[in-house]
Amino acid sequence: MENKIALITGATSGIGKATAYKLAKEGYNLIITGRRVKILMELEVFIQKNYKVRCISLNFDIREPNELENSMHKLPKEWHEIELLINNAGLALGMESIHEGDLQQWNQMIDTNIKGLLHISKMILPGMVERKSGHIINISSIAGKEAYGNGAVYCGTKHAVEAITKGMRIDLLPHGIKVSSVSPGMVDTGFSTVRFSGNKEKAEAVYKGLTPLYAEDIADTIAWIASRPKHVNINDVLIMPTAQANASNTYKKI
Amino acid sequence: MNKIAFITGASAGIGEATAKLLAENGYNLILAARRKEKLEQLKSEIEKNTDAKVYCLNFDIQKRKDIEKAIKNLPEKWQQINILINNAGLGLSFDPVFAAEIEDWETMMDTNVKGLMSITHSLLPHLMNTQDAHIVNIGSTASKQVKKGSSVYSATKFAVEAFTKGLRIDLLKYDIRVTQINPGIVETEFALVKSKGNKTEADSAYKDYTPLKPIDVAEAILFAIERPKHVNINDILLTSVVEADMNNMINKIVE
Ligand SMILES: NC(=O)c1ccc[n+]([C@@H]2O[C@H](COP(=O)([O-])OP(=O)(O)OC[C@H]3O[C@@H](n4cnc5c(N)ncnc54)[C@H](OP(=O)(O)O)[C@@H]3O)[C@@H](O)[C@H]2O)c1
Ligand SMILES: NC(=O)c1ccc[n+]([C@@H]2O[C@H](COP(=O)([O-])OP(=O)(O)OC[C@H]3O[C@@H](n4cnc5c(N)ncnc54)[C@H](OP(=O)(O)O)[C@@H]3O)[C@@H](O)[C@H]2O)c1
Repeated sequence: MENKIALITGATSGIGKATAYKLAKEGYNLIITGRRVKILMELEVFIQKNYKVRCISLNFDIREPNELENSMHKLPKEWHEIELLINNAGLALGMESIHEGDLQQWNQMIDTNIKGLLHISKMILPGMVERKSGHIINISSIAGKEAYGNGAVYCGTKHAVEAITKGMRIDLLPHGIKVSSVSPGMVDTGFSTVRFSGNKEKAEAVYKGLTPLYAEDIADTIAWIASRPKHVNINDVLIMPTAQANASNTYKKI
Repeated sequence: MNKIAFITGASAGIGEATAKLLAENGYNLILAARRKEKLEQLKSEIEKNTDAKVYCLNFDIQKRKDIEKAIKNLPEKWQQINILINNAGLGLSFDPVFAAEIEDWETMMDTNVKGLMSITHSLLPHLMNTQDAHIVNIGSTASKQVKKGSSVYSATKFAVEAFTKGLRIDLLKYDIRVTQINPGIVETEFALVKSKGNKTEADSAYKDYTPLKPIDVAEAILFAIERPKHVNINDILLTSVVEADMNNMINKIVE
């Protein structure tokens, strides 16, 4: 294939979807993934129609090792040389104090944000190492830098992403592979609706009184990171709404 | 009207590259450093090649009184400063703590920490009076980590990081954006200053690997200041691909 190939996990919504559009515009052929097959199919058609690139979708739950591996093994040969891996699929569930948290929600966050990210990376990395070329961009969070109240486990998963990113970079730079992370503050996506199990009122309250980031802001940052000269590795970009100084200090005009 | 960017340490390296890039992108510039001739040279070069207007300021950032005087005497039309880029700084001693010269430590503290804080303090009234104000501090990988011999240099850059974070919290209500840009090794006069003017030592500093170039850092600064108003890039950490972090480097030339 002439164009470079990018694989984006969690491309059915929010940051992943905006990144798919942005990278398509920049001329990447795309492998998009997620659980919601209907959205994936629509997106695949939309991207092929509106951008001059190819697009293929893979439908799997990133927590299910067999699903993930079967899906990846079905990838046609011409799609094997993945140059850019965007590890984006992830979620927060619940906002309870640590002594009231839900074990099932904890497991789902850990299985998706940490183990899912590791598993798909392991599938793709050997090829990158062999070709001595590739770039991994992990979507971390301000929650990967600081802990906040009622978010211990989500913050724990993102702190893990941060450590994994740093370790990956040490192991992979000798092989010519770049490793970066983007760590956003509040972004207005499906994130809060998922976190509050579909409770729209609670989700909207999160962004009330300030201008949050939009998925496109993160997509622009990802595209900028991916387009640096060959010798430059952007290790991390911490990007926040101007109204949010850090995990605990936000300025709301209500 | 064009925005005004105030760049400290504009007579060399990252500051100089940033001045040129910002001029190309429509900013007017206040350039500060000790070496007057170098600044004047840069001013004529920029004014010849771009439409940008340039104003030069000469002071030693270690001298608080001189900073205050220079800022107080700014001509009326140069007072609406939109962007402050706190870049002036240096690494003088990378000897182990027991072998270091205390004067070198003091120069680093006075320049990288107290100089940066003084100039920010002097310019805050201007920034708080301006639309779209933005402060960009140049940190380092040494803002995040310590390596052999870097104790005091890292201490100064850790201090910059704490100051950046505090500024951001205190200025939150005033809509002033605060960013820190943290490069790994960059090919500048840094090596010459570090070796106290030993050219042979400085010239060989970058011969076994490809470092960042000043323009790479300037591009990151430009990316941060050109984001939409609701977006604040808090922090960018960037290194050459030969440097995974401060303690993990390989020797490699990247074509
Ligand atoms: N929004 C924020 O404020 C914010 C801030 C910092 C970091 N982040 C991070 O940004 C990333 C993207 O989140 P977003 O804000 O764009 O939220 P979103 O709109 O809810 O999108 C999340 C994406 O992840 C996918 N996903 C979730 N669980 C999955 C699973 N088990 N298997 C496969 N795919 C899965 C979803 O696809 P399906 O549902 O189709 O599977 C969806 O495409 C996450 O890692 C999140 O932690 C978000
Ligand atoms: N190069 C690197 O590897 C690297 C890596 C990470 C961070 N940094 C940081 O990047 C910043 C710029 O350094 P650089 O690499 O561009 O070095 P450089 O080429 O040596 O430039 C340093 C600049 O700072 C100015 N400066 C130094 N002491 C000053 C003083 N007392 N008063 C006023 N101006 C002073 C110098 O101007 P005059 O001499 O004319 O006064 C010069 O313009 C520094 O904060 C440095 O710590 C550098």
